[in-house]
Amino acid sequence: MKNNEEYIELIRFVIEEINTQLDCSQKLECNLDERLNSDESKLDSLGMLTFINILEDKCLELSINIDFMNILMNGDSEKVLNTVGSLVKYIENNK
Amino acid sequence: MKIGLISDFNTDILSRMIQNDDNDYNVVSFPYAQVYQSLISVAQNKLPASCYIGGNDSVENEFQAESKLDNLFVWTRPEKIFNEFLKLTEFKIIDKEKLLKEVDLFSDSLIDTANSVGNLFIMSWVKSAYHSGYGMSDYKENLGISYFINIINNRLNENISNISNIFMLDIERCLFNIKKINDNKMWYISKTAYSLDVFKKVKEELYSCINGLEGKSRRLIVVDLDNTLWGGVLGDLGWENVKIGGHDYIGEAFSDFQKALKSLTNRGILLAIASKNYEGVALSAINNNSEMILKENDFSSWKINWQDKAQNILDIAKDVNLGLSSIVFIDDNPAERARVAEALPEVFVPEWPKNPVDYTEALLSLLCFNTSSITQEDRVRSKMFVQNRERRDLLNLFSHDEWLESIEMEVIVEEINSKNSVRTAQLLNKTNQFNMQTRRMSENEFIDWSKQKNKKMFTFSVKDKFGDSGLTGVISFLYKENKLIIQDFIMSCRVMGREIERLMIGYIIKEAKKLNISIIEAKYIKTDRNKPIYEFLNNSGFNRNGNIYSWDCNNNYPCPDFIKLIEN
Repeated sequence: MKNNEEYIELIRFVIEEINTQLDCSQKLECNLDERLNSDESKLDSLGMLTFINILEDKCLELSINIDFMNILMNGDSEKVLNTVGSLVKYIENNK
Repeated sequence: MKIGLISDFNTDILSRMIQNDDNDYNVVSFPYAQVYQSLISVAQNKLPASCYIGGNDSVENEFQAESKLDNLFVWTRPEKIFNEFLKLTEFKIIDKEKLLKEVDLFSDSLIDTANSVGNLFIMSWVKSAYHSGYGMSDYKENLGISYFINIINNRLNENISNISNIFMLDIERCLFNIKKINDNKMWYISKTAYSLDVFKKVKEELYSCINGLEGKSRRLIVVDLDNTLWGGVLGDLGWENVKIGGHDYIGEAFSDFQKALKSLTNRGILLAIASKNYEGVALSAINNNSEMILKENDFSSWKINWQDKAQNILDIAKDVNLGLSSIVFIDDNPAERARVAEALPEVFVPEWPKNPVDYTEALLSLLCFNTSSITQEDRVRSKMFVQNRERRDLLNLFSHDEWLESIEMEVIVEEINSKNSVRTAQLLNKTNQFNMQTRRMSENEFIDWSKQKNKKMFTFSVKDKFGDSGLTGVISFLYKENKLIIQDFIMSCRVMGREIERLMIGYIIKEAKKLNISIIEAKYIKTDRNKPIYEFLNNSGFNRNGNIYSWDCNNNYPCPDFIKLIEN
């Protein structure tokens, strides 16, 4: 069974990938309080879409099939995608 | 450096990758799906307000004033820019002539735009990977998408092939080995047509092209021997038993790898050896094993001993007169690779596959050998460097002056013309060490420059009793009133140390006298790599004032008399 550390590792990979597209001052940090989809996020709309896209691909590699794009577009994105911490918790509960 | 991106789909991800990489590229993203409008605006040096620069949301005003793009990348899908092709994807019968006319119009638009940018890269067209078209009939003449993709790519290529600053890139290469080419979700949400992995490959391809045009392509491959050129350890097995060729899949893989290395010499890439072995034993393996594809004469230099490989690579660089940034080092041993990468960070040390069956693919997929053209000089460069090795051997028998006289040098001087312009462009854009101002220009730019009033450009080709070194020197100058100002003074490292530079200066002084000019001036512009010309200028006899060097033509210049000068 995958533990919390493994999901943080997964998100660390996604963050490293998305950071290659972000300006130095806008790079994300992999800590549980880092804002993702909120007013204080460093990601703009395309950045958030790309983040979700990489996240979904990475989750699939671990046989975790969650439609994050649907959550972003139609679901409770503020709750799920608010911070790295909320995202880790959601993956843990819905894997 | 400014790079413009024009596409019929959203390429913001590519733009962000380039912008935020560790380089000085500033990306100008044009609004997607406005390909023709964007091309016209670049051709007119007017950028639409809706394009944005460096991740900002609007055009910076100052950019408008100096809006020339160094590089422009145009990436389109045929169904989005050609009406006839769109019909084809809907399985309608189309008019081939109409489609070709559309391609011609698009080509015209690219050619117009290319006049206003440094270089223009156009991505070739490809059928959507998922589109089955007419299946087995898709290549049937005048019917399928596959048939017409080839037709339009060839037509575009024919239309632009004479334009020296337009380059057509092969999209198939960028899609090679990519598991997920299209990203349907990203398409429907953000009109991003390709996956992240495709954008990464395209970015690397673009960098490789730009590096090639800036003269940063690699020119020398230094290889290890044991388990790199052949299978097994020579010292243990003996030359008869190393794995190469024969009826063995590993031996065959090493043979293919050697063939691939040899084939690269035909495009001007040099080969050298850095190996921990006994030299005599290693050379006897190379010369005596009948399965060996590469022979002693294929290598411009070798350092086969038990010394540190980093030091050996430094010595090889000195032998062939190339900078470390021209070198690729290939070794199966990760510890040796790490040592060289750490000690010589300018040397490119690619990660190397563990299995020899993957060596050829790893070699031929390297992007570091990209050049804008291949000249006759490139094709025989390897041979010339082998001749240079023979010259060095002769040098050991004579004093330097005696040696210079013994090699019977001839230098042919010509004004710039259509026959020598491609090679001249290469020298201008690739030479770093003996280059006074490191002025980089496209072929068109310097031809235009040299046609201007009071400006001239001469080329110098060198040969001796060992062979022809080809066009290896360029001098350009402008003159006004009583002064001749040298603009470009460039010589290939291949002929350094042979007094050719003195002959070139002597020739320019002669030209100045013909024009009744008495003062020659040369301005040195320092770069990280042009110390050799600085040292020459300081020892040239010219008077120095800061970075300006001058010569009074009333004085005789000591030209080398052992070089025969031929004016064409």
